[in-house]
Amino acid sequence: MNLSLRRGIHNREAIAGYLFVAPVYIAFILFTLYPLVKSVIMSFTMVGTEYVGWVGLQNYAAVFKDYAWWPSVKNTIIYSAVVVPAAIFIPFFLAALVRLMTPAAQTIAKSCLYLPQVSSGLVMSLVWFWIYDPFNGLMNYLIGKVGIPPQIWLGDANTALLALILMSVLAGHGSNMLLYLAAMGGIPNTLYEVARLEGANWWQTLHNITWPLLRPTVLYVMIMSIISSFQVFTPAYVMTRGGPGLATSTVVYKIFNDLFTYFSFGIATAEALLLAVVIIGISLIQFRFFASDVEY
Amino acid sequence: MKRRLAVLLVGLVALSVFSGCVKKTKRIDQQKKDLIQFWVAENFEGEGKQWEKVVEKYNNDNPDVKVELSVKPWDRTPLNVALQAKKPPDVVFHYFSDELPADAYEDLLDYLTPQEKEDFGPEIIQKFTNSKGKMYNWPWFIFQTAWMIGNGDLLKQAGLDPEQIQNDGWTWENFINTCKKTSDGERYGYGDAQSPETVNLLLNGLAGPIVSTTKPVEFNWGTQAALNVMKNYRDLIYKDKVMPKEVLGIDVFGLHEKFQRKEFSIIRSWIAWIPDLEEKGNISKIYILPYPQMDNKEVKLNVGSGGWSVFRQEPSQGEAHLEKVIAFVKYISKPMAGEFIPSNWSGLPASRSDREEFLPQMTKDDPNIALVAKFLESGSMTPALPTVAKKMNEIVKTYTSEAMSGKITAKQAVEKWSAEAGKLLN
Repeated sequence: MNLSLRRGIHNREAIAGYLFVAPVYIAFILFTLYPLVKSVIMSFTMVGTEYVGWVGLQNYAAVFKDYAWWPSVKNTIIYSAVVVPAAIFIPFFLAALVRLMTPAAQTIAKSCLYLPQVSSGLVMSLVWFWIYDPFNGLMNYLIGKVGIPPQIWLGDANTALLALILMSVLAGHGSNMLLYLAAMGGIPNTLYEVARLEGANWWQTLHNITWPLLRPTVLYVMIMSIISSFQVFTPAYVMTRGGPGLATSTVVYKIFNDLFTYFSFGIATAEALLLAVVIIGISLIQFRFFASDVEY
Repeated sequence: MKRRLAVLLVGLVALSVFSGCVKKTKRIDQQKKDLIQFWVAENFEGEGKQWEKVVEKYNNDNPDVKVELSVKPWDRTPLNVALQAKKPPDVVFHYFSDELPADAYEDLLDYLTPQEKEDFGPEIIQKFTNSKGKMYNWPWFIFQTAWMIGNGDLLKQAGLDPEQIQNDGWTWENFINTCKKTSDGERYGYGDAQSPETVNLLLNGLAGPIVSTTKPVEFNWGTQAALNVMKNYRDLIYKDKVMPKEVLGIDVFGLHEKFQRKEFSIIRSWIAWIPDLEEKGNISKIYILPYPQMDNKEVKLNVGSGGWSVFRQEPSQGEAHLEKVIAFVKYISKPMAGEFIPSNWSGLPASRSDREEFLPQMTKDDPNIALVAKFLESGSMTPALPTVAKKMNEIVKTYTSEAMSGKITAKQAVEKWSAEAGKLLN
């Protein structure tokens, strides 16, 4: 085949390729990039619902002075500080335990552990709202069995955030567990055989072989968990409306409130951008410090 | 083949994306009638069906017009989306203030006749006029829907006369004693799952509006009166012990369930739910109870109001169309065939002449309506407050919630909200 014909075929294939990915790019531009750029512009040009022209950093200054901003940031950080390690370690141990089971038992265990992921966050929140009912809820019934007095849970500023965190920690680790299981399947068995011959027990094997070799997966789970935990909204909105007081107000809940309750477009978009910058920054730090010796 | 498939796919995507960008046409249906898009949100179950009958009758009586009714969820999102897409409905039950851009509305002031102006009165007209002098709402009803409601059976069993309480009013101490009398080991005297809103209402009624309505703008809720309100309400849980702290951890519908099961004698709720609660709780009569006086001062209720907004259309549908829309709005704002839909939540007609005509019928058999009517006639319209007041209300509710949950004292709550309000005003 001569060069020009080959080039012609290549060009035709390239055009076809571009056309196939075009819908995705168009959707990305229309539904992600354009709103993102518009948000940036709005944060510098809107006060309330009105375009007033360039206002500089006025909206950003207003965000930092808002009495509800820093408590929301604090709550989000506390929430992430507990939920993220739980999202990393609990599914890891679950995966390690599931791998010890017979194949049939593994199938059942995987199905049961993944089932909560199928429920929407809204449904989960409503169910947990009932679990936390201070009068007749399951949680007070259970803690009563071990001698702990009933708690108000969502109505007490001292326990409300804990209640949401507990829900997130217990709610479901199915998808991360499946990721770990898949990654564990890629570890050569010879390593485990050698460790067994050397007299290593289950914990030593897990700690010295499995965990280090799962580093890429752990990094992925960590980054995704941080991104989702920093954007926590549904439990705060459905179960507590950010209260009592500001006890469970999160950054995204505050953004929602500013936008849809108080119609402060400029402030809400400024808050959203600040959140985006923080999440990007944390992700970059994670890549810098934890991905140096990760190969995919 | 691959390229053809790719071209087809891109074409379909492009078609779906751009299909929304059609040229806007006049809203005339196939039978050449003026189309009026009419949105309502249900305030009670079955309201949509009532509106269907109203719209059907109007369409039959006005053959040149077709009103299209849409019953929307109680959520601002559909309206926001419609406004952003520049396709708002013609008429919507509008419970916003003037938060939306002023040019979104038609100015209804020009359609107010002198008789109507006198009938509504200057307070209502002013309430529905935004800061730019545009009347953005056509008055429909006045109301105060948040009340204490009592299980009449339990009150009477405890030897109390709810109708006497309605007629004579009661003090805060009487209220607490009533709660204690009607409670026992398995029943609580009082429950409120929306304490911040109730405290806000009491503050308005006893300490005045949150900020002054004239300049210089001053914050009014840093006073002793405000502290008394916060302290008295908080004491219901921590001192008087007539309200369980657990009620802070449930929502109003959870409270309704417990009220139906007679676990509470009196709750704070919305009166639109009374028929439902009576039926499901097998309660022979639920009484609306006046808010108790505090420090010998009667709670002066703010009178809320609701109306209809007429949204500007692009392109304009013409003056003739707008007049038909206004005619429809005026029609639905009045009692129709002896019925007034807002009466389901004890709303009264906004027009004085309509009230005079309709009220005797409404109050005839129901002491609850008589009580509400009495307070509405003596109350005053919620004043138009500066924009900063909304943020201040949020701050007050935040610290009220903290005080009720026990995190801070009443005094600390008042100090904190006064400090934040001061920062906002500076």
